[in-house]
Amino acid sequence: MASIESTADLDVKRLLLFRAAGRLCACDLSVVREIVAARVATRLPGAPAWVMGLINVRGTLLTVMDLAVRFGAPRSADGVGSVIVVAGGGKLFGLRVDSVRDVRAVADAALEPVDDQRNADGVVRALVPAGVVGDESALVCDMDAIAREALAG
Amino acid sequence: MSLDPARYAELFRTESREQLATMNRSLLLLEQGGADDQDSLSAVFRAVHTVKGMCATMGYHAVAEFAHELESLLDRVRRGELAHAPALMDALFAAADAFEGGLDSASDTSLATPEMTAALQRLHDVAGGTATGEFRARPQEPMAAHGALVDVAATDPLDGPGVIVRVRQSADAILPGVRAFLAVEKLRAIGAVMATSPTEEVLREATTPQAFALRLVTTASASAIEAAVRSAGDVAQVEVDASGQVRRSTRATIAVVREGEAAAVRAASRTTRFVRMDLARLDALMNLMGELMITRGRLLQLSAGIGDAALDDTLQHASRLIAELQTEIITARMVPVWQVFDRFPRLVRDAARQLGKDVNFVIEGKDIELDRSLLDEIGEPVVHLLRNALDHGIEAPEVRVAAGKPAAGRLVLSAARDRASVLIRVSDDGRGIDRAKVLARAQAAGLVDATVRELDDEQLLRCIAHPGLSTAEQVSDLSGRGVGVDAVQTKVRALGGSVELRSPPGLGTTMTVRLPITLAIVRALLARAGTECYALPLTHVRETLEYGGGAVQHVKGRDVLVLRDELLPLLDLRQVVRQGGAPGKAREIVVIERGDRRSGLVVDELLGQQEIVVKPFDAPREGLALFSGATILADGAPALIVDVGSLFQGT
Repeated sequence: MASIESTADLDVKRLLLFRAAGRLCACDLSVVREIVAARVATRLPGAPAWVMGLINVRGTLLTVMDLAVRFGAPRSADGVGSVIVVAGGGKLFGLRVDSVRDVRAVADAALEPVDDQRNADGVVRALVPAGVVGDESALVCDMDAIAREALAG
Repeated sequence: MSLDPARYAELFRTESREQLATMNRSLLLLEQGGADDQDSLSAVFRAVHTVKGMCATMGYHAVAEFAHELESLLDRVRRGELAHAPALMDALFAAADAFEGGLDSASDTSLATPEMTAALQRLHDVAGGTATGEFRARPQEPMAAHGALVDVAATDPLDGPGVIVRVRQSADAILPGVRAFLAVEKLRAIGAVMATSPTEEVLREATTPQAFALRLVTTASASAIEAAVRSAGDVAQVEVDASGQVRRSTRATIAVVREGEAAAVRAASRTTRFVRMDLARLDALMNLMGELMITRGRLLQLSAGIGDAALDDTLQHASRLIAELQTEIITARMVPVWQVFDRFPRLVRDAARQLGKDVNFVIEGKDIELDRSLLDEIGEPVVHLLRNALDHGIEAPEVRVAAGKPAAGRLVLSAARDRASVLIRVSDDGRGIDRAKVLARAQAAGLVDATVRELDDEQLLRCIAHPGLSTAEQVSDLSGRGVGVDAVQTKVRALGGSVELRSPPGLGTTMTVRLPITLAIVRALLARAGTECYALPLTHVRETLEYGGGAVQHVKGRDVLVLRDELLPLLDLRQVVRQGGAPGKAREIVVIERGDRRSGLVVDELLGQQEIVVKPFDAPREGLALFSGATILADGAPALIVDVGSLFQGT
């Protein structure tokens, strides 16, 4: 039996807010491992366009995805912005974003479902409506879905 | 110090497995050598005896009893009471298998496994039902709990250099386990305790007064040894036996170990000192080594920018040390292939019998060394290849005789070094692969163009490695499900190696597996294509040339390389990695090879040879399957490692 307090805790999610392709986006803070400065990535031949390539983070090689390209924007310049290192789909990978903004607690009840047109084939899991974390609405990204879509097996 | 029982159990498993391997090997020799082969019989006997002692000290009584029964039967064979017959050999092999299964489950259950009971029954049936005693599957009290002095002659851990110290505790000893443990520790302070019987673990857990023995390598005198033991308390009797060979010296006599003798003993033990090490620890060392190498690269690059002579000197020195350290670590990981190959004679024997074939199995190059992790991985593919050879290659005896061949087929498993790789070869003198049949199947499946008249070795391999394309008339228990060669190739390529096939019709089949010597660090050529850098492992690199100078010609619409008398197709690394842009002027050619096939790979520039550390990475979906891993260059940037073997797929 969950107590009232813990139920209340479960109802609130801590989200990392960041900006990609000019949009305010978010992801669960719990999957974020670290944030590093973007660096030149080694191209992976044949990979989908939004896979930027490999970067070296203190001896570990991570595959980095460019969220902007996935949302239909042009490819970001090399070595500009930040890479959020996240765990998703049983893998560790990087997500290149323009800038990292803030960490905010958002009540689950405040999240809205996204319609099929805007969920970008499952990459966007929910929407934080305007007025909750600022004037803009934010797209909550699903890291498991991103790993499934971009990485093999 | 640690007294973790799991640690001892692991050690027991490793060592008993080695004895089992010896037993199987000797049984095979015995089977070939017949009744006169007393040496092999003795070797089987010794192995069983040793494992019996080990089981007794571990408290695995069901298995120890099984070993005892086996020993009694072997003794009767040795004394000529039992006829040397194929049925007996089969029963002994079955017993070896049951023995192995029993050892595996010994730590979980004190009961005999059904296989053990069945195997003994079979042995008794063969032996005419006159077994030395009833085999009982019942738990027993640990041997250590009996009051008498341990019979050290029966427990092999005490065989070896050093003095044997036998201790009996006072009947009224309080906390005998702790006292025994203390006694061992006291002795450790004056020498090296090589073995104890029963094991230290059993000793420490003991709740009744103990008699125990241990083997000590020391320069201390017998009286000093006795004093050390007595200082642990509750000791009734100490016996120090320095006679080595003659163990049962008179009880009251305390032999004096002379300094000279002890020194000789120490020298003898030094030559055979081994430490068993967890593979995970070796892996961790290798990883750290890799990091160190990458850091060295960065340091060298930074110091080049500074240009300080003293700094350069120191760095050069550090580099040499790092290189030596790397060689040491790689060497520490190397194990001879016989550690895996030794179980194959038994496997081949069983499979040959099952298939009704007569085979002489030969292993060559047993001492060739390979990285431990590679060796572990290569066992299964080699088993596939051996089974294929037995099942499809070597013909039934009557077919062979009809074809004018000796009735017994010849199957050779060999290992050899070739530059930066190890070649593992399985060859048979069987019927060879039926090219016409493979071609027909492949054409029916649409794998090969209908106009092709004959398959070369490379095409043949590609066809038989295709999942689901088997030419075996019947699917047998052993192979022929059409997954064998496919699985071998997948595995070998994952290890950074390649498979080659040669099959002259009627003259047998040879499959060669080429592997890098080690997985974690490989020598590679760094090549530039545009602004990108790729690593080409030397395993498949034959030589490098300058582009131009008439070596490259235009034949039938495509560029070819004229190398000595050969025409080699040319590939361009830029196109391979799907890179746009105009190539530079001064280009270079890397001649790559796999088996008989060679190609020229054109690159913009060669950046030198280097040891690179192979790192895994998560490949993207739809990415080119041309890379076996990635590495980190001196400037910290990742570079992809090209699986050169796979470049031949497209040509």
